[in-house]
Amino acid sequence: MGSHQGKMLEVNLTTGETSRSTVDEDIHRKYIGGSGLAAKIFFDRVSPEVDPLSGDNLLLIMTGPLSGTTAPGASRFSACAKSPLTNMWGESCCGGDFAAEIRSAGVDGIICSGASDKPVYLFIEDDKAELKDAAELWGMNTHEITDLLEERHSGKKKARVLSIGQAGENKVSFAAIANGRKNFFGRCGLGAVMGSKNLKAVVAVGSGKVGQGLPDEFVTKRKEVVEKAKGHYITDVMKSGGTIGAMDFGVMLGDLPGKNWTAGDMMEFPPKIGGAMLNSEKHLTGAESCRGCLLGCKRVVKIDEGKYKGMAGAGPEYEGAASLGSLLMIDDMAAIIMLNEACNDLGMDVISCGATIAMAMDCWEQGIISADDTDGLELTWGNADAVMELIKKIGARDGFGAILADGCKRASERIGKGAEAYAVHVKGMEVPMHDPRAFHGLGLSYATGIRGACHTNDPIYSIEQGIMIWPEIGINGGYEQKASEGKAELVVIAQNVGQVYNAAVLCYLLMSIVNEQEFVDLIRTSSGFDYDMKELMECGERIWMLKRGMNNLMGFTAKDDKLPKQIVTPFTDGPAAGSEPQIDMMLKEYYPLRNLDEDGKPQKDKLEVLGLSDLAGKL
Amino acid sequence: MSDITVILPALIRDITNGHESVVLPAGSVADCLFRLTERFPDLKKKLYKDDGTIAHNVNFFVNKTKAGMDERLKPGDELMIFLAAAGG
Repeated sequence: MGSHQGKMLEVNLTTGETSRSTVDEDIHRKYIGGSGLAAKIFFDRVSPEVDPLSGDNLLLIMTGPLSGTTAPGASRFSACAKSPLTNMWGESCCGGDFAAEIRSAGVDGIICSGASDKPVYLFIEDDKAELKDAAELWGMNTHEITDLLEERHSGKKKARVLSIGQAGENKVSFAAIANGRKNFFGRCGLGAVMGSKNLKAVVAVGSGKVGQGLPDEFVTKRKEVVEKAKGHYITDVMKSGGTIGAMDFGVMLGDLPGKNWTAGDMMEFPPKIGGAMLNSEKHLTGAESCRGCLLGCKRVVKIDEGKYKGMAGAGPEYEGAASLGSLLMIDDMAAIIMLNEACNDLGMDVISCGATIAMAMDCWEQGIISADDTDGLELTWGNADAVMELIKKIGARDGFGAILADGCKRASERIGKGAEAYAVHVKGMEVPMHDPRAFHGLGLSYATGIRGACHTNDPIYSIEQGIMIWPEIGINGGYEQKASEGKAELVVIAQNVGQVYNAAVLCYLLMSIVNEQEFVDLIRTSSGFDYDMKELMECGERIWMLKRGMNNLMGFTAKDDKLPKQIVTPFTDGPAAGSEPQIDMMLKEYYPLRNLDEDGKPQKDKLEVLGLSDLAGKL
Repeated sequence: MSDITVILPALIRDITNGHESVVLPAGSVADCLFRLTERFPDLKKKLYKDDGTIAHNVNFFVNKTKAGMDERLKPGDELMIFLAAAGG
């Protein structure tokens, strides 16, 4: 076997036992790793009816074939479980430094089952794994516990830490898992799953080696990609501006959402809360990279004046600046940095948190809720102080925060009185900060996304912008962004290749730098499996179909493949004025291309071809 | 011919001798681009594909509104060039 260790660390939180299981090589080849292999393991072991917050749910922390190697963009890893936010398949991807550590400890992933009756944390040191008492750690937020556990367990080699904050302990439906202080599994509420298992943290120290299937060729191919990346403009963009730099450009395409998706012209916001402001001397102190990455997209910032003076730490990504900024009509960069930091420390997804608060602010404006409902907070647009208080209340499940802590869908249902119209989500997952009126294919991707609305589970956003051109699989570039025609076929391709890079757990940004052959070569030479692009795309299709089928078994059908009205209603002003994604037309084209029947379920003959006859039998 | 201000992205300023903007006489976006690459020939590698057409990731905005190559320009117009980047 190549870079695969061939083993998984099994942790039974109920009994406290740990052991190592093996994964069949053929399964590794067909599901690659990451969220692909996680889906296969989950499907084989867990009932689709499982309560996401019960001990019967599995939490899988997964690496990919390039994790722990020196390949660029390979620091990422996956967390997967049934999501408490959506009640369907949940997966999240995170950068940082943890993936290499667990592979160096000799496993490809960690499978957490059961639930402890008291707070514990998992300590892994090479072939040792044990659950330790975490009573004294319960109540800490992510920064404090990270510092404490790093200090406690670092020796010759630094210990790496995954943790949950109070939001995860309180099972906030969009609670995140932190890797260190600056990287997060944000989406799908997997921090709540960890909290439900009373698992406060995972600490890993590994000193073993991660090999490659074809080591000499891997070195050559890796070097080629590194050299290409060094001279690539995406590297320059990310290094100089981070992901937030895209706001200054995207706003001119109509990409930046404002006022809970109702403001068409947001041109005034980027100078105040975009890349130029965050990267100015006023805030920026440096840039950081995930392990082994050339891009350095992470901003390190400070606040030297005003009421937030003294803050120093991670700056917001584009998503945080938009979801806690423009979406709420907050145009104060310092305030956004603090709101972002509060979410990070409590361990909450900034997208879902901001979007849920945006729903509440819209309800306030519409007169659906008042100060009597919000514990006295005035939820007027742009009121950053109220948002800060609300974030703390959500993390603590306190008062009105307890209502919002279950995400915008369920919160709006509890508020009632028409609040549902202002909840912008797909299948319970709050929509990320890219407007489908500016990119129609992205709208179809949101509607059919395997974990709900998502902009990274497939690369359609990059494809529609002409950044990712892979002719071998039908991505030729030159697409009209505000057009719906032809997008169904493109989304199917994007979803399949998206499953491959999510299974290989490669950085989304790397997909804009490498070409098809370089992508294949990295996975092939590392894994040792003689993949070609055709086989990898078949793997992607298999993984997508498996996840879709699991979602069907969890109760989701074609009727759930829809977009909220708030993000398809045409604007009367701004760059996307008059543009409306033709979602019904795109779906009509999409289902047969995607081999889904009219109920939105995978066609059984297709499942047989993909080797998913067991799924076919259950649907 | 109108005098057009071309705003240059930071990413290509190593090619444009550090200029953040230049003023060029041009009647259309295509015309402006021709003159720009005539002045800074190395820009062609950043903005064009091997077949001589504009790369798919290159975007033009006239007065902050997305524009095509055939867009006519008038005196005082501001042309911005952006290379798309998808992040976040």
